[in-house]
This record gives sequence, structure tokens and C-alpha cells, in this order.
Amino acid sequence: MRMTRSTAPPLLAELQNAPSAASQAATLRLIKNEIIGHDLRKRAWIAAGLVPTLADILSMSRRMSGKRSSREMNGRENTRSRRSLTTDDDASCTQAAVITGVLAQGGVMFVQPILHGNVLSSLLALMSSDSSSLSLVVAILKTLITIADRLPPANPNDWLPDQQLANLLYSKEHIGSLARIIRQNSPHPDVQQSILLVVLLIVKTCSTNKQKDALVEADVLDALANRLSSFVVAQGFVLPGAEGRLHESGSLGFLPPPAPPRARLAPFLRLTAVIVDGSRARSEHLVTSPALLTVFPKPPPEFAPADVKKAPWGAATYLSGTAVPRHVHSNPIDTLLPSVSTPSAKLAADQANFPPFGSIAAISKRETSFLSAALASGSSDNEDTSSEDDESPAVAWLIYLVRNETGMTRLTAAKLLVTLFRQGLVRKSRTGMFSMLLVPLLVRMLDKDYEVEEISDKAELDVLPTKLLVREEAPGLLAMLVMDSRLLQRAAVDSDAIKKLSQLLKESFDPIPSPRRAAWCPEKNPRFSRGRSDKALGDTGPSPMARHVLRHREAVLKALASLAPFDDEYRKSMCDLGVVPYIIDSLKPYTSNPLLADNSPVGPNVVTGNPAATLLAACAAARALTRSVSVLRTSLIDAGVAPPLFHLLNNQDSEVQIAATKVVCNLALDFSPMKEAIVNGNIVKTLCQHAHSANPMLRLDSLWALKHLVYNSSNDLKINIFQELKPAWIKHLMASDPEDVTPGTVLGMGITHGFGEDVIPRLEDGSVDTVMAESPGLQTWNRHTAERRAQALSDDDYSRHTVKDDIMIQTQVLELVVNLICGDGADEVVDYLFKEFNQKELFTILAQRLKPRSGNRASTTTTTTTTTTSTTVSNHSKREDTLKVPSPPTEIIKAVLTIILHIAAATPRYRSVIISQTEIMKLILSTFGHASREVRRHAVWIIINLMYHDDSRDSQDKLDCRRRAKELERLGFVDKVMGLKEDVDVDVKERTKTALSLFAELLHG
Amino acid sequence: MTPSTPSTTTPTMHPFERKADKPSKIEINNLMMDYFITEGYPSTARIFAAESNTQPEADFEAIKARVEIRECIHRGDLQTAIEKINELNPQLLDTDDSLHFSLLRLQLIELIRACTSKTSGNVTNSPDISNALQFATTHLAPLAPTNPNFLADLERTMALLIFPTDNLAPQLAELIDPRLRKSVANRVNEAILGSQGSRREAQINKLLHMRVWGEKAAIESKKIDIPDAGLGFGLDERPAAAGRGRTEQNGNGVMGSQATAEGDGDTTMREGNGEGEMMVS
Repeated sequence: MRMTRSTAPPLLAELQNAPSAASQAATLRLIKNEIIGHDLRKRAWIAAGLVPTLADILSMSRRMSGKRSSREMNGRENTRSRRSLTTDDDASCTQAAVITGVLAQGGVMFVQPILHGNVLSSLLALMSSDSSSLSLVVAILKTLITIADRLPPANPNDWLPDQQLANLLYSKEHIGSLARIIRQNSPHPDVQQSILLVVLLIVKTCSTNKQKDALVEADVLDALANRLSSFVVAQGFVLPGAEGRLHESGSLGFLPPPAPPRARLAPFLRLTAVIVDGSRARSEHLVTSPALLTVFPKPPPEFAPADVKKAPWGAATYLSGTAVPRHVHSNPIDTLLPSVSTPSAKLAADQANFPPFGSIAAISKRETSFLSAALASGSSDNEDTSSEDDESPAVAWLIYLVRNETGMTRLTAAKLLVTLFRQGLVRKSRTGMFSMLLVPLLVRMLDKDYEVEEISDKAELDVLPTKLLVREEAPGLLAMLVMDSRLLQRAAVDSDAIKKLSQLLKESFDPIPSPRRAAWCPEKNPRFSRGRSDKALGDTGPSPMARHVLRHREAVLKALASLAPFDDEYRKSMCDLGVVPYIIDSLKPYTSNPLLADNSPVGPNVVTGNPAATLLAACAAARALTRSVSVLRTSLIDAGVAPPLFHLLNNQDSEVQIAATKVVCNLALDFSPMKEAIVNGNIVKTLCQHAHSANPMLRLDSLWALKHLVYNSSNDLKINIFQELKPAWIKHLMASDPEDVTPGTVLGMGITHGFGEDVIPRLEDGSVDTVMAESPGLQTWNRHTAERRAQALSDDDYSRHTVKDDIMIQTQVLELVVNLICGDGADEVVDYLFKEFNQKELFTILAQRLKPRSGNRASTTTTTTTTTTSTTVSNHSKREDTLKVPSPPTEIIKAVLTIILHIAAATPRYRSVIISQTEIMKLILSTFGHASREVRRHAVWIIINLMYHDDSRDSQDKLDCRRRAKELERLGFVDKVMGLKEDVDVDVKERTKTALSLFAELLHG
Repeated sequence: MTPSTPSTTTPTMHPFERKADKPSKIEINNLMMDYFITEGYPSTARIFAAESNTQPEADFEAIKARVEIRECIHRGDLQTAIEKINELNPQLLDTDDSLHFSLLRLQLIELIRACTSKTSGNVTNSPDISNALQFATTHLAPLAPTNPNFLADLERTMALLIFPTDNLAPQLAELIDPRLRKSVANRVNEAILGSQGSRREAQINKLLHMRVWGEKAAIESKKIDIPDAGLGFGLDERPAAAGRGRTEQNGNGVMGSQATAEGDGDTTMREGNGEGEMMVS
């Protein structure tokens, strides 16, 4: 037996000067056997310079096989080599690839030199080369997966893994070969294995929307759909009549061959879900892919019994003949599912009647998906995406799989199903079914004793046992599923989800068991140089297990957040189970543990803090809990939510800043006992700074939080915030027309940003009832995680925004001004406002905001009069109206009217000022016919306020009041107010009565 | 019958009793074929396939590598075995510490066996143990502290150098026993099967375990009347067999396989088993 330290250099020299590829392969074999299972030897070999030698071997053979003999291994070969590798070359490359994998097996530290040594690009080039043998490709794929599991962070203190591998993999050069490998048809075990390996590799490395879109473009998704449909064929789920419709457009033209008997469905479902997740366009791409349309053709109006007999329905004899339903809305697979009584009318109504959150989220989501679908695919089929009629039968198939399979297949089928559900491709009427059939299964997966069959489902190279994978994914699926539905939330809570999740959250803070203890070494303190080179070990980073634990924590927090938004009872029970301290611990950002940087102390492996994704989930959970007044007053305060949260406002990740600001937004509400703490903490300054941020979302939420903060606060604070924000800046924001903001810039900023798709405009209607509304929908955090990942690639991504964003920002500014000038002592602030803004200019700005955009008054007056007639028109269609005609957005009009209303309420002095602004008064006059009841109400309120006299004994005041009333009459307001006497809105009607009685009193009294 | 055996039942459903009364010939054949493939008897499997007219799913090439590795271990040529394992699946030993360690320990035992047997007839009584010592230092010592069990195992193995082989304590004697080779070979076989996504154990072994467990449970419950003579299948020594069946599942693999061999003695398995042993030599 050779001693390691002595063998390394001679063997290495032998390797470098190998006379032939065959002897090189033999030497590589020796080295491989030497280091397998011995981490210390791996270290020694890396220090001796094994990695550069491997890189040489891998690129040398590339050079030899290439047409051009470029000496530099960095030279990218665009022309693919036709000459095949000699078998000896192939063997030595295989050995080199295997050794790379063996080194990487050692952990994060060992991967660093590999990344540095330019090995990856050579490996990928070999993978994409036609001349590589199948066994070489399999070896390379295995090595890449090993590396992908153990990627070090890009920077020592970061959490997110290095992107080098992903960038190479999804580059134009190599992405095609991924699709090519998946498309292979041979049932040969090695071919099947290479397919599975590619699938696993993509699952492990694909994170951003950009990468997913690239995969769709490279036909990977279609190739996956082919795979899925071959399983559909093998399982006998091809819809009756499919054979007869092979030649319809969109179909493959032939039934895909059945999947090999031992093939596993789970990996394909898993990757499909990963790619489809987060985009309506990709989801539609999947369900409309030729392969799936072939096996699941769109249902004809009626199934002829003749079709049924022909159909390849294996053993499902009870489906034949009359059992096939004849109505359009169902498909034969549905008959395999237990029938679930539809949820009671009460519950359904319950759900519909929750406007502040549910309906808005639903509406904005729908609009977005429509937008993005049109953007990405250029086709706009199914605009009215109700999807009641055109749900793909694949959905029923997936439900069937979830119910009838176990382990990973069940999990991955559920994952794809929930993803499609999220993208609105599942009938809404399935919600009741999900509450009975899906939610309990998902909650069951949270259990510790949930048995997952390890052997048959084990993907060979997963670092983590299947059981942990299931546990990691299940809470996230639950979160995605129940997020918007009270019915599903209740189903989850009824299955004891809160208790299980709370327990899981606690356990995620347990020390992570260390995989290996230190090996004995004959030298006392073996010194290996560390650093970022190809000859030294890198720093330790989060182990695969640590990453798993934090992903799990993130998913659990998401699930808790998704259960909590509506029901106070659920929030209370979470607090009773003691989750609050753990949520607060989850708000602490990740710092690379200095103790872990040294490999010597072995023991409990504790990750300190949380990476950004977990922070976002923790913020979402905290925000959900802050919706409860009682929770706010007790648990959250006692546990000290404020300090870590305020700290997060200055986090380097802007998405985290936004999420933290949203929580502050709720804490700043008037009834919150935290308000004091926010004022006292140095938060106001930070929020004001963030309001100036170039990131529209951060700007929006900061303004939102400030808006809540100034409500009912002291004048000192108000003036202070005014000054911090800079009056000129506020003025600028108010004065700009959002429609005029050039694409790619934010309102009030001159910076150009990139363009992005998949924009989710949030909450167009803003705070419908009061200015103090909850900030935007919960679903946004989900998007944030996706976007935050995208940010790792490109810094421009956050600035994706639309005119709608700018409108929202402006609304917030206007509402902030409203809150500044209302309440006690408002006149002082109004004075300040007039002084800072210049009274005349302020009114000009306000008038501009009320004016139709183009200045074409004629057109707007006609539209407003037409809309008056149909005041019952729904919110939804009304918004579309406002989008079509160039009249200013409702929320802006409302906010401007509120400002005028409050100025009028401040002191009698200003009432005369307002009434003298003829332009504004004319514009107000036109709002009496506005479709929004809010606008009409505000308009009437202005009239009331203008005629209001504080003290009837003051004759001068009374005189002024009469004069104002006369002026209003002259301007035509009496007629307008009379017109609202029979308004559909009770509130408007009441105000109208008040206004009319004031008119009567002042004009004729 | 467990669902994983290929379903070859006739389309019309039989009541369970009738099925259990007369098991289908094809199913028994499949079960045997599964045993040959899983346990690694390719030539037996080939002949059996021809004789019984069954179509095995697995290709015999894949079995060959496993058989070769097993043969190496049985021969005591651990170095070659480890190299072959690394060739077949380089990650197997890298990820399975305990399997790697037991292979290396067996290699050490073989070295010790070699040097002690050479000197056993010698009068000087000072065997050259430097080879074994050096091997232990280089290969086993670094791994030993990573797991307390490894350390204990290594210590016990090193004790073999001290005591004469002809009069060992039972604890040490079992290290020298050739059955250890079988046990390690079995573990390797199972690990390779597991890494290939197949079942780690032959179906018949599982059935046997299930049977033993079932019989034991039935006896313990005392509610079900079971004939004193046992239920056949060669499980006459009921309580003992039952006890062993339980430990086999948790203990090391060789005991399980031996139980199978013994248990199968009376049934169709004998022929296959014996033939298999002959064929692979």
C-alpha cells in the first residue's frame, strides 16, 4: 500500500506525461481508487494540483477531437466536431469526470477549486459533443449533479449558490443538448438513466424565470410533455376518442409510445412543475403542448359509445359504455375520482364576500396572467380565463395520480397540480374537491411518520433522502394551494395543519446533525492552504443539509402565512402554539458563521440567521399575524418583533426591504401599539430615504407605511416627515402624470431600467374604503421570491414596472398628503403645505390630476355622462373603462378630492380660497357623474365642507358661508347635487340630503 | 402476493383462498427468476429462463459486474473488489462510509490472515505484521474516529494480531470466520442493487420474512388457532425460526440469506440455489 503523501506527486507527474491516452486512463483509475472515501487524501491531491491537471485532460481531448487545434482551452469551439473521440480518450475523459465528481463529493470546500479550475466548461463541452460516448455523458452528468448539490456561495458571506454552473448550462451552447438528451427514445437502461440525470440536474440548478423561459424555448418543456404523455399511454389514461382525432391541428399525429415498464414518472413531473411554476404562459404552453393534446384531446360535445370501445383503457372496465359522462364539463378521468359534494353555499359566499383581500388579489392576478400570456406567446386565446370550460383533462389525471400514487410521485403530481391551480388553469369549482381530496393529503405529508418508499423512488444521486425532499416541498405546496381560499384554509386547519407547522418551525431551529466527523490524520495540524484558486480548498459554505433545513423553514413560514391572512382565530392559535419567537428568529439575516469557516470543530452545525428567501417568508408570516389587533398587542410586542424588523429595513436585498416595509406598514396602523416604537426608532428617516428609492415597489411601500404613520400623529412628526421627504419632491411626484413617465423609468426618477415581463400590478383599486387599508396582496411575496432569485442574475430586474405602478405611487403620495392634512391641528399643516408648495401651484397641480389626460374635455364629459347612467356597473369593467378613456384613474381622482375636502375642512379661510379656484371647481362639478360611488361621495362632501360654518354666532363667518353657497349655486352645483338625490349608494344619498339642506338653509334660510 | 411481482393473474378474479391453495406456476417461476437475478446467478437464470420459458426483464450483463465483485470478496481479494466497485459506481463507497469501512476492515483481516497463517507453522512465532500494520495506519485509522462503531471494530480487528488464531474468543473468531466475507459480499450486493434503483432483496426473502413474522404474530396473539406442527415451508422449529426472522431484518444480510437458503431447502428453491453456487464458481 502506498502512502498518500508520497504517491501524489509521482502519480501526478505520471499523469501529466502519460505517453498514451490508455496509460493516462490507467493512472486516473489509480488515483480514483486512492481518493474514494478518503477526504484527507482528496485534500492532499487538490493541494498537489490535481484539478488543473484534470482540466487539462478534459480540454486536451476536446482539442484533439476538434477540427481546429486551439492550444488555449478557453477557446470556445463553435463548430461541433465530427471526428469522434478515440475510445481511449473517451475512457480517460470518463475517468477524469468521475474523479472530479469524487472530489466534489467531499463537500462545498472541494467544489470551490473545481469551479476555479475551468473544469465545468470542459465538462459541458464534452457533454454537448456528438462524439462523446453515452457512458462519458452519464459520468459527466453525475459529476455535475454532485457539484450542483454542493455549490459554494458566490461570495463567502452570501447564501445563494454560485451561478457559474447554471449560467453555463442554460447558455445557448449547451441548453440544446439538454433537450436532446431528454428527447432520446431508446428504452436502453443507460439512455433512460441519462435522461433521468439531466432531469435531476435541471431541477437542481434552474431557479430564475429567465432560465425557465430558455428551457421552454429550447423545447425542453415539449420534450417533457412527450414523456408525460407516454406515461399517460402506459397507464391507459388516453381519453376515449383520442385515436380518432390524431390528425386534428395541435396534435402530434400519432400516439406516443408507452413509457418503459420500469420508468419512473416522478422526476418528469417534478421538472415540469419546476419549469412551469410562476408563469401562466409556461403553464399554458404545457397544457397545450402537442403531446398532451394528443392523449388528452379537447372534449367533443359528446362521446359516442363507439369511441369508448376503441380507446386504450386497460383494466378500467367499469369505465366502458354508459359510465362515460355525456356532459361537456366533465371528462372520463373525473369519474375515477370520488365525487365530492360542492361546498355549501354559505362557504362559497363567504369567500366571495371578502373584497379587501380576496377579490383584489384574484382580479389583479387574472389580469396579469392574461397580460403575460399575450406578451410571451403572442397569442391571446382564452382571454376570459375563467377556465371553466377548457380545463385540461391533465388536471383530472394529476388529481388521480395524487390520490393513487405514493411518495415522490404523489408529491410531484401534487406540485404540478398546485402550480397549474395557481396559474388559473384549474377550474374554480375544483376548490371544493381540493379541500376534501388534496389538502388532507398535503397536511399528512407534514407528519414525521409519513412513510415514503425510499428504494423504488430514490433518485440515485440525491444527497437528501426522499423523505426529506417530501417534507421540504409539502409545506410550500400547501401554502400555494390555500393562499387565496378561505375554504381551503379551513380544510388545512381542520387537518391540524397549524399545529404541525408550528412544530416544524420550531424543529427547524434544532442543530443540524453533522454528516461526518473529522478524520484522524498522522500529522498534528494538517495545514492546507485555503482560498479561491484551483489548488486550494475553498471556504466552507452551507452544506446541502443546511440548505435543506432553511428551505424547509421557508416553506413552513410560507404555509403559516398563507393560513393566517383572513381568520383571526387561526392567527390566535398560531400564537398560542408559540410560533412568534421563531418567526422573529427567522427575521434575522444570515451571517456566515465564523466558527464554521474552520473545519476543525465538529459538532452541532448551526446556521446563524436566515437567507433572503427565508426572510421574505418570515416577513410574510409576520405580516399575516400583524393583521390581528389582539396578536399585535400581546405576542408580537412581547416577543420583540420591532428590532429585527427595523434592522431588515436596511438589508442589502431590496426585496427584503420591501417585505419588511410591508410589515412596518401594518405595525404603523393607528390602532397598533407599535406606532410609538416606530416613531421613536430611527425608522422614519429610513422610510423617507426608501421613498426616494429607484425601486418602485420599495418606494410604494415606504410611502404606504409613512401614510399609515402620519395618520393621527402630532404635527411635529408630520412636518418632520414633510421635510425628510423634501416638499419639492412630493410636489414633483404629484405634478407628474404617470402616463407621461417614459417606459422603463419610475415616477419621479430619470433612471432607465430594463424591461421585464410577467409584471404583476398590485392592487389597482388601492384602499377602497379608507385610506388606512392593508397593503397589497399576500401573493406578492411569492412573486418576490421568484424575482429575488432573478435579481441574483441581473440587478435591473427589480425595476420592472408599469404605468400602473406609477399610478399607485402617485396615489400613495396623494393619500400621504391627505393623512398629513387631516386630524387635529390640520390647519397648521395646511398652512405649511401652502407655504412650501405655493398655494397657486398646488391648486394647479390638483387641477391637472383631475383633468382628463389628453386635455380633451369633450370626450371625457361624454364618457362620464354615459357611465353615470349605469352606476351599478361592476368595479372590474369600470376599471377597464378608465383604462380605455384617457380620464385620470379613479384612485387619483378620489385622493385629489380627499385632499380638497380636507383643505376645506381645515379652516373657513381656505374654503373661500378653494371656491375661488374656478378651474378646480369646474372639475369637481364634472366628478358628480363619476361611476365610482366613492368619488361621488367625496364630491358631495366637498360641497358640505365648503358650506360648513364652525360657529353660527360669528356673523362674518355666516356671511362668508352664504356667499360661498351662492357661488356654488352659480357654478351649477345645486343641480348636480340634486341629481344625486336618488343615487344607488345609500351613503351618497345621505350626504346629498345634508348638502341639500345646507343649500336650503344658506340660500333661502 | 406483493404487488411488485409482475401481475400475471388471469383476468377473471379468483377468491383469495383458491389462489393461495394453488399458486400459479408462472408466478412461482417469476419469483425464482427474481431470486436468481437479485442474488446474482446469471447462468442459472439463463438456463432457468430457457427451461421455464420465462422472459427475464434484466439484462445479464448488469448482473455480471455484481457477480464478479461478489466473487472477489468471497476469494478475499478485496483490493480488486473495491476497484471494481469504484468502476461500477464511484459514488457508492464515497457516500456509504460504513460499507467502505467494512470492506477495508475485511481487507485488513485478510492481510492478518495471510501473515499469521504463513507463520503459524513457524517456530519463531514472530509473524511479519508490518504489512497489516501499515495498511491499518494508512487506510483504516483515518476513518476510525469518524464513527464510534468504526473505532470499536478496528480495535477488535487489531486484536487478531495479538492472539493466536486457533483459540479465539467467539467475538474475534467471527472475524476470521469466512462467513464474514459472505456477509460483506451481501451488503455490497444490496448496496449496488439499491443504487441501481432496484429492490435490495429478492422477493422471496421478503415473503419469507413476512411469513415468519405473520406466523409469530399469529402465535403471540393466541387468538388464531395454528397447528402445532407449523405451517410447512420448512419452518418446523417455529419459535427459533421466528426469532431469527426478526433479527435478520435488522442485522447484517448474510444471516438473512442463509435463513433463506435453509428455509428454501424443501421447496423448489433448492435446485436453483445449489445450481447457482455451482455455476458461478
